[in-house]
Amino acid sequence: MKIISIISANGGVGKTTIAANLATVFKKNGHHVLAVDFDPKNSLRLHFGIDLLHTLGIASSKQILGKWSQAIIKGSDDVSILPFGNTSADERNNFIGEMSNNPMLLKEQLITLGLPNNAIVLVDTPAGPSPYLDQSLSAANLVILANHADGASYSMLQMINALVEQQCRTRVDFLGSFYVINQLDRSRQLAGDIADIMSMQLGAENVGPIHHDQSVQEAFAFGTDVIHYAPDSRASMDFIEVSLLVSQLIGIRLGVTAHRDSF
Amino acid sequence: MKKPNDVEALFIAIDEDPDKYQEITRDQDAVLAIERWPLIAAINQISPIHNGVAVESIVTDETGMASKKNHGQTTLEIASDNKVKTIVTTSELLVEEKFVGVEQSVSLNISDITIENSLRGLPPQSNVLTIDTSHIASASTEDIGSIFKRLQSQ
Amino acid sequence: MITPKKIDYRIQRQSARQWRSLLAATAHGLCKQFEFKNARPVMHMIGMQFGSQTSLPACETLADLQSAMCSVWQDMDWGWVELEENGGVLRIIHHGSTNGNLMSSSFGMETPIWVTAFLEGTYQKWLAAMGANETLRVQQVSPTDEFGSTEYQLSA
Repeated sequence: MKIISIISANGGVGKTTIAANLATVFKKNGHHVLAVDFDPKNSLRLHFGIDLLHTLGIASSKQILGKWSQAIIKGSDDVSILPFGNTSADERNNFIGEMSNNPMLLKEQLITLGLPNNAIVLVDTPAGPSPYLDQSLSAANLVILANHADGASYSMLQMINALVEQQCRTRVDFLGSFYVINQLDRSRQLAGDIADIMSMQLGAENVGPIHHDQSVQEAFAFGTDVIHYAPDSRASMDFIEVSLLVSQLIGIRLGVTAHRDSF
Repeated sequence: MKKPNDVEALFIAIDEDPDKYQEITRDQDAVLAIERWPLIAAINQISPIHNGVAVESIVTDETGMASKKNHGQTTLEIASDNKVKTIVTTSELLVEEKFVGVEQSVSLNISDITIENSLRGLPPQSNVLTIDTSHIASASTEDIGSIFKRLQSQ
Repeated sequence: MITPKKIDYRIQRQSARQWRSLLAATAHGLCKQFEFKNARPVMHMIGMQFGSQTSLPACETLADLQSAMCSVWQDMDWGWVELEENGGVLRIIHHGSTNGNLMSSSFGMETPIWVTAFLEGTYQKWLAAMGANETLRVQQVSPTDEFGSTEYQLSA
């Protein structure tokens, strides 16, 4: 399996939306996909039409530890979801304690799931430095860094890159980093500038924009993903493009339906 | 900016990919863009990012003061392709142990940077609307008045 | 490379949906009030009003004028315009108007009218403000194509 960690320095840049929509694209192209919600907000499941009353997850009960497979649930489009679970403060503290005892907890638990070799696991990780980020980075084969095209994201790039460098670069199974600039509105000078600067400094092949598009939020409010809600929208095209670039990095081939030349 | 056909032809003539022209102009635009925004320029003065790797790390001590230090600690060689070495001292970064919030412990000490001077020269409205004109044909630079005169005499 | 299909995506989703819905509702309402043939002059007049409200800066050349007009359209995400003098007329080709998008939906027969007449009025007002005297009129000369491009001409 290939583990893709979706991380960010700042909150609210749209990691969960990116994780959910990429999961859908990969699934549409015939891959086995598991979307893991590693964020106590437990919001990833909402993108897949999972019942609001479904509160089970990897951290929602101590008994679950060692049995993450029991918490897997199928969401819309047949994507498998591993929710974080609705948790009490005690449950969260217990979970943090378990992570502290075992720095490779996430990776080991994912291995126990026995996923096929070509499975793609997307790990939605809370923003900023935290034990969750450490676990996620330690397990990642590929890191997707989500940003906005603004000064706040740019000013944190160096810090978040340093964390990725420390926890990932020395591992032979690490395939690289990819930067997603979310909600990009190029009609404004600042956003266009930051996007261009990041492309220049990080390499255009490592940067993929998701343009600002109301369809994304509408899709979420509908309880689905943008690829199904508005397949011709700019955001849908952007997610497909990002999935193509990411698949090249992790060395998988996507199906004909997402072939680049058709754009 | 609209790519002139003669530039495209030139690139083809020298056996270069004409799309490289766009890359060159984009990179030039990016360099200018850095200078448009004082904070961005300041960040690049301290820690320019090159090929995704910071040239030097910012570290904080216990009081949260950031400085550009070379601790001589673990030097990580970036594996594949001769990227710049990064001296990472994340062991000294203060990290929130409890997941109460995700506040950053790393911060830039900007008092040493001449950002205030830059800010004084900041134009009142920098975040202007940009017009994407690459797909729009250029119009004549003839004076409008003469054009109207001609049309009126038809 | 920007192809018409890509531009269409941009127009479809980046325009404020509330704005387009409001205009469509207004157009429907007006067309119900007036007969089909009367809706056009009304929309033309509304376009002229819009042209007065969005007065352009002073322009010396046709290129300046084109830029100024594109600035307004870009701000509203209503496409762009190309100006070209040809054969004794000034061609005004408006690209990517929301009309192109609306045509593909099911708003009905009267929909093609409102945007094209609206734009006709706006261009008339803008050009008059630039010095075109009353003998010069803006008229639509071609229907909006599937990419949302419409041609108008300023002529005597």
